[in-house]
Amino acid sequence: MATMRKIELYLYNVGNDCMRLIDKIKGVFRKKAVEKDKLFQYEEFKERYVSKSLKENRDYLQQVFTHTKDIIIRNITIRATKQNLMIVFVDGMVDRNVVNEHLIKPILIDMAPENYGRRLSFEEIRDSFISAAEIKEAETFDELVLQLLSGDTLLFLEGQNRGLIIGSKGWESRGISEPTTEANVQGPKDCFVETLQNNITSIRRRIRDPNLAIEMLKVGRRSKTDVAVVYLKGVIMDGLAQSVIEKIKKVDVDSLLDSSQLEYLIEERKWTIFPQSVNTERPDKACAAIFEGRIAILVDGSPFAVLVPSTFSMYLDASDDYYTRPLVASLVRFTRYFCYFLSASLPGLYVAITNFHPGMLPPRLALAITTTRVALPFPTFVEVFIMESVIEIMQEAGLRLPQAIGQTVSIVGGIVIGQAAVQAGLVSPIVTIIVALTAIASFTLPNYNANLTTRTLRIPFIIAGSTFGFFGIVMLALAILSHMSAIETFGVGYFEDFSPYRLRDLKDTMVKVPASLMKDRPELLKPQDTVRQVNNKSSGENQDEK
Amino acid sequence: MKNKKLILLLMAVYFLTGCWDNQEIQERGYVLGIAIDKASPLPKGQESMDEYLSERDMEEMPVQKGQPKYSYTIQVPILANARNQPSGAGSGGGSGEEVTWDLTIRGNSFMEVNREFSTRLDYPPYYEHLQAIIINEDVAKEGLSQILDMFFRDHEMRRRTRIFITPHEAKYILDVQPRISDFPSVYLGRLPMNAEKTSRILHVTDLGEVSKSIHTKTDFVLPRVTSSKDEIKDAGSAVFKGDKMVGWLGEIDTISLKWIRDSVKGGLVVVNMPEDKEGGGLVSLEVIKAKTKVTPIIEDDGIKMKIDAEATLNMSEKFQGHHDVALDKSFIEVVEKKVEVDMKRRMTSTIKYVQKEFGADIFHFNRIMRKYDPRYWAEIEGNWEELFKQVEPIVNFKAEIKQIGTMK
Repeated sequence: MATMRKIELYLYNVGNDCMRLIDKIKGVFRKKAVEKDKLFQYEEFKERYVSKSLKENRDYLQQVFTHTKDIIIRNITIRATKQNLMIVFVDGMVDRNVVNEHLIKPILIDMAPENYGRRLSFEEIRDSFISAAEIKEAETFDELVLQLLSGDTLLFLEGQNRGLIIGSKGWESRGISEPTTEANVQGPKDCFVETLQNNITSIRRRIRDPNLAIEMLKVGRRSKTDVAVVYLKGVIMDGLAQSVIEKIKKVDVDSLLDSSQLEYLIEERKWTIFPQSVNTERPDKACAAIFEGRIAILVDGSPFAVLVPSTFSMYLDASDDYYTRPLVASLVRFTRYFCYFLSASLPGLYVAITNFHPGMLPPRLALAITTTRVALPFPTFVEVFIMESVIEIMQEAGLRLPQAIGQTVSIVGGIVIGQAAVQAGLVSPIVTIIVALTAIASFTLPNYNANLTTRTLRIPFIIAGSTFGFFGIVMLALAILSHMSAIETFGVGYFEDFSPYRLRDLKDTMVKVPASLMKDRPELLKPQDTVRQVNNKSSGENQDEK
Repeated sequence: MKNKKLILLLMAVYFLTGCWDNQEIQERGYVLGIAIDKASPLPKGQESMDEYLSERDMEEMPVQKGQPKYSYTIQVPILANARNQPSGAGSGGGSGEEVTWDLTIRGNSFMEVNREFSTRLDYPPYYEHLQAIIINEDVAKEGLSQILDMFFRDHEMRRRTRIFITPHEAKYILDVQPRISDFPSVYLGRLPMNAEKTSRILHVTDLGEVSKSIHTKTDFVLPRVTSSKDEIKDAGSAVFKGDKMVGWLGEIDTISLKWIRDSVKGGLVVVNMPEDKEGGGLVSLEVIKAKTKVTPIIEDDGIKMKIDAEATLNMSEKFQGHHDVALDKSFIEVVEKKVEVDMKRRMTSTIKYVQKEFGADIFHFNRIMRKYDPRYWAEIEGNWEELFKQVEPIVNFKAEIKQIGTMK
């Protein structure tokens, strides 16, 4: 037995040796190819220390960035002292002005032999010559590569086993413009952009509280996207921020391109059609949420902030509500809630009424609807479905096309599909009105995700209405309501601003009370500091919001 | 697992009920009006004998029990021919074409007849939009409770459907071709709404009211309608004792009846001024506000009814005299006095007339008595029919003229 085993082992070893030999022989011919295909991980960089030899570092970096042509490695030699330096940066990611004026220029001019006859130490260069604000040291390549790819500049010095990271981030970015998805009439008109730093600045400008916490995280195994979690310490519910940060840390994905992706990765229910966090491109809205005791999550590269925890009423609030008079705002909010209902259920209600309960219509209306339907080829259900599909197609087409052609689509669609279909006797004019009204009602919703939800809900409502009439509609509405009440985001119920009765939370839902009466933060968020404003009737001055 | 059971339960609730009453809106036969006659309708118009006979054949129905007693006509709209229709709807209605389809069948029970209609009508009859039920006088004299029972009972029937009585063939009312409206039933169904303009029209005469009256054994009135080729007139009333019609009440008596019943919605009071006062002439006064309170006075020698009516009036028309006269307070007082006396006389005479002619308590004194003294009412309830005829009315009318109109 033992001999057998020995023979086996021997054969195995011989086999291995042979394989290795073959690999080596192959390697001779394909050495370059192997090197090219080598993959690098950040884990590996952690083990890799900066070498004292400049050449070795250069070779290593060149090896890492074999395929990228925009990595610029600049060698500088100071003749008098024979001191070699190496500057590395990524073209386009850095502010050229910083690199030229504050890094290369001082080194070349100030370190010239006529000024300094002796060799300069690493510390001297770091402290006295480089005129950039942000500077860091690193010994391993993980930090160095990450910062290099984030837009910073690296500096290596011959004979030093560490590298300098000089902050030089600066790239072309979109200027701050008016919000496009959440337009408003009154109130601030700035908007988040794709650059995280700009977005944080937008928030900071509005919240000058020293307790404003901005926790920076990196998400994405490969993308290493910057994520900022912004909240107010001392206001936010105990443990909420920690649980959100923990959730974000647990996210393990390749890449993160937009804040909505992160939103979907940290939410609790994967299959519901209701959005569980509000995304907004308005800094004022984000700040208002932070002041209330919520958290804003910003992702680099995304002009949308994600607000958690969210409640249903947030999806129907527009910033305009807070900048207009409360009675007007309440009326508008009522309209919006009504539109939410209409947008989801109007076609279903129409089918239910005409197919099951025409007795509920006033006689003249019933006869009028019947008259328009006398010669039509399709049943109501099919008709509504066709027109709904047409509206969906038109919406999608209008969205994807360039703006100039998009208008043509709406005109052609509106006239041809609407007018012509009615005149051709394919659909009844009432269905056209119903479908158009439904679509317009859905446009009143300030949150695009809420709009999408109602568009999705329409189909089950049509089916329920056409199979079981009002009974089906009521059953479906009950099922949807119970589902919505069951949703929780970070421990806060979806309907918590309505459902356990708390007057404080109801003040800012369907009815918006005057600002002077909203003295406390919403109770549902369990804020540590509940007081929003102190009563000061006589002076009439507004206490600062804390 | 728990979830699955719940879903299964929900599905069962859904699918066990089914969509049994799903019906496209244009595939329902909206019955707008029903006419009920005795079982031998007269020949219709100037049709040739052949057509007439085939029509008569259609109306025959072998009944399961007994002999056909009634002739039921339902009216279904032909919407494609309607004149007033949305512009988007297919071809416009051709003028001259019939806009309604009236089907007549002779039978006993309305339910049986109703199902028999399905042998001739391709759309199932649908009664939720029923506007009017027109009943012939002879049928009404035999009693309403048998023919209306199905209307009280069925789920498709609405309590707000109005009932009318006609001295002629009820079917003729449905044959009317209205000038403005498309459908005679809709035209007729809207007429009682004019009760705000004149008290000659009864307005609370729907199925629910009749049901209530029949089942509480209260006498009641229903509006009288008559028709010409293109018009229907709704004025006056038919008096019912129990569920049987006993006679007609004229238009003027109907006004008095409405005053006593405290159901005046509007209308006029016309009085004649005495000659010595500014040349006399007629004065028409429009009723703005009307309120009547009836209180029984129970005495040993009989029951008296104290009827206190209060009216606020506007002067709308004055035949004689200079317009300045109306500004004179004494003149106004004279008119007021005249109205009070006149109305008192009219109301008293109406009560006396009804007591003598019909003995039907259409003023609902019995309800007032029951409310006023339930114990005493329990004693006399069995004898009320006789007692009612001896009730002595004491009418007090108080008129107040608010406005005298503008002068240009």
